[in-house]
Formats: sequence, structure tokens, C-alpha cells
Amino acid sequence: MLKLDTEKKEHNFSYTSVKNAMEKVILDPSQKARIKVRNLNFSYGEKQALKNISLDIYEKKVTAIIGPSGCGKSTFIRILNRMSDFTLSSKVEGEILLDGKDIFSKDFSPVELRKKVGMVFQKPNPFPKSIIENIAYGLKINGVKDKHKIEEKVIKSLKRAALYEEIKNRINESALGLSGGQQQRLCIARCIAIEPEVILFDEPCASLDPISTAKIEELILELKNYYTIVIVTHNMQQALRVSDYTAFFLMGELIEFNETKKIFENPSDKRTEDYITGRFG
Amino acid sequence: MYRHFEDELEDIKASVLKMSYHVMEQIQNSLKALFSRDQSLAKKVIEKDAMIDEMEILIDEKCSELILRHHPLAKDLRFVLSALKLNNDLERIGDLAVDIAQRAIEVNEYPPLKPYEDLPKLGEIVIEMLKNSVESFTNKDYTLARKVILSDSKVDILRDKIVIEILEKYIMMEPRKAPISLALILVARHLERIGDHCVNVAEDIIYMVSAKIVKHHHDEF
Repeated sequence: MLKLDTEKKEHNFSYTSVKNAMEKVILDPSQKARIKVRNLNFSYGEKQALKNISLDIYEKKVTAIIGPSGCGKSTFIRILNRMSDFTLSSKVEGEILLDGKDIFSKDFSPVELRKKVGMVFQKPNPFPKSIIENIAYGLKINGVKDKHKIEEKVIKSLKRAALYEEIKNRINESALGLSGGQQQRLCIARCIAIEPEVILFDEPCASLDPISTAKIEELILELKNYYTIVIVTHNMQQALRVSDYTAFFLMGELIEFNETKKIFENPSDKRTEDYITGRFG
Repeated sequence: MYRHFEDELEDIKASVLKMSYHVMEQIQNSLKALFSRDQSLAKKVIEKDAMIDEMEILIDEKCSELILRHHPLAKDLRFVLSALKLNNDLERIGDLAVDIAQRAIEVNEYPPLKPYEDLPKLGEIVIEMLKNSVESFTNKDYTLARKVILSDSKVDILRDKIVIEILEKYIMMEPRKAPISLALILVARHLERIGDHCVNVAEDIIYMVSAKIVKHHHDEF
């Protein structure tokens, strides 16, 4: 296991500086990196929201992004499926490679990218349609026309999102009649119906009660058998419970990235320790 | 909230230090009762154990309340985990001081076998180990904790020397002195066990300071 180098980056290209930089990025060479982020800078207007971020996101693992409000963690995951394209006067530098292919390259359309990298938001956002239509919609706009195939995929997604048993007798009723936790699991089902490879969760339990939160956390642990997961969370106990790796962001910088146990038991950087022990932030 | 949290951590630390002070006094008094043949002091040690037990419960409660309320992480988590284990070891050391006091009462019923030489030395080493363990907890001193672990072999060697001497000179040669001889062997054994608890404490301090688990792996550091 390589150790993290959390010192400031050097800008000369000596062997040592390159080696140190790689040690920080490649946390666990035994794992397959599904997404490789390299020297990512993101700014909008005058503000530089992300500064030279480099890290690997490992296949079928849960990576948690933690940090105080405004540190750039939501900005970071929104860039991973190019939601950032909608930010006015924004500028992206650096590389994000999904299975080795740069997501900003011209031959990688955002629509294609978002099929592979799905997203679940802080507040459940079901469409004002029936439960079944919520999931079928994404399939239809992606060209699936066979009614039986759609139904089969809807049920499979609902089952995988651990929602089917609770709502199987009312899948034609409005999704807005579901509880907050059920709505969030519906959004997860909607996301996985498209069969993505990566799922991004932006504080998925922020508006849920503890029981619904526990269900979503259980679900995330189940989903990591099939998908690569990135989760932004303010809840450090949640990061501990669900994630394998944790990245700590502060003022747009990646301060530390390591195995979750290491980050929460014995972080390398004083700033990480101060944040997770409540000394600031 | 943060200030309350810091206050609670400090309170646990102060409680552990207070308990360690009383435990140390218990060992010193139990040995003093033996060496100066002071039966009433031995009885005082036995009576005071209830107070040590109460302190243990109080520290346990304070630690579990802090965990419940604040969900400590990183160095705070390691501190609370270490304080809990230290608390348990201190209580056991307190019990061993009582055991020594009980042996002192038995031994003091008989005329002395011989002037005490090695037992006071063993007592001094063990008390020094406890002092250093507690100091390493207070100052988060990795080096001092390591020193405690390394001094355990001295305790074992001296304990063996005492046991062999008593066996050869008294139990085998003068069986009528077996009761007092066995009691003194037990005192050496109790002191050696106190040394083992000090090593446990030192291992916990090393975990607290560096997050390294050195239990059962002393050769590696």
C-alpha cells in the first residue's frame, strides 16, 4: 500500500516529484481505477472551485467525498458526469478518464456519458408521473420500445433498489404519493434502470429520517456489488459506514485521499484531523 | 458543542489520572504493609479497593456517554478507547494490590524468613513501570511507553529469581515454612502481573499516539 503525500505539489518535473504525485493519486494499485481524475481545475467567473485535483475512483467500491460547505465536493461529482456544463462562464482544465477515455473529448457526448454515469440528488426528484412511468421514461428516451422489456427492466430496477416489495401493488399510482425515503429509492431505481457503470450520490440522505437513511445506506452497500459509487456526504458516520475510500476536500483542494478506516482512525494531514474531529468546519 | 467535548475529554483524562494516583498508592501501601509488617495498613488497602472500583465505573460511564454524544473520531476516538482500556487495567492493578495486602496479612503472622532483598527491588521496578505508563498517557509519550514494554523482561527475570530462591532454600529444605514461602511466591507473582498490566497500558498508549497496534508484536518495534 502506498502512502499519501499530502504536501503541496512541486512544479518541477523531477523523478521524485512525479513519483510523489503518482503515489498520491494511485492509492491502491491492486484495485482497478474506473475513473482517473488528473490535474483537474474548475473555475467559474473569478472563482476557482477546484484546484489541481488528481485521484482514482475504484471499480465496485464506494468512494466518499467529505469536506466543509463550499469546499468543492458537489462541484467535483457534478463534473464527473458533466453536469458542470450547465454552469455559466465555467472553465475546466485537466483530464477525467472513464475507462481510459477522456469525458471532455469531442467524441464523448454528454448524453452518452450520463448513461454511464448516473446521479442521485440530495432531494428526491421524481417526475409527477406514476411509479412505473418514472422508471420507464429514461428507458424510452434511450430507445427501448418493447413494452415487455421495459416492464421487465422496471421491476428489476425496483427490486435492485429494494423498493419493489413495498410498492408492487401500486406501481401505477403517482410517485408523489411515496414517502421521502421511497421517493429517493425510486430515483435510485430510475438511475439504475439505464444500467450505468458509475452512480454519483450527492448527499442522498440529507432530507431523510434515520430509518430511510439506513435503508439507503444498506442499498448503497448492496449496489456496490454492481456499480462504482461516489457519494458526497456531510455525515461522517455515514462515510464510515458505507465507503471503502474517502477523499477530504478543503477550499477546492484535495487534502487527503485514503482508505476510509485510515482517514477516520489516523489521518495523515492535520487539516483532515481537525475537520473530522470537529476542530473546524 | 466543541468546548463541551474538549471539557469532557479533559474530564476523562483527569479522572484516569486521579484513579492511577490512588492505584499507585495502593501498591505502595500494600508493599509497605508487607515489608514493615503493618497489619492495619494492609487492612486499609483492602478497604480502599471499593473506592477504586467506583472510580472504574464512573470512568466507564463518562467514556460511554462521550461516545454516545459526540461520536469521537481519529485521535479522539483513540483517546477514548485507550482510556477505557487503561481504566480496566488500573482496576485490575488495584485488585492485585489487594491480593498483595492479603498475602502481607498472612505472611506477617509468621516470623520473617529473611530480610527482604529482591521483592522490594521488584516492587520498585513495577511501580516505576506504572508511573511511566501513566506519564506516557498524560504526555502522549511514545518513547516512554516503549520503555515500559521493554522493561517487562526485567520483571520476569527477577520474579523467576525470587521463586527459585524460595523454592530451593525454603520449600524444599524447610517444608514447615511452606505457607509463608508460598505467600511470598504469590506476592512476586502479583507484582509480575501488575507489570503485565503496565505493558497493556503502554501498548494502548502507543495505539493512542500512533494508531499502531503493537500487542503481541513486541519484536517488531
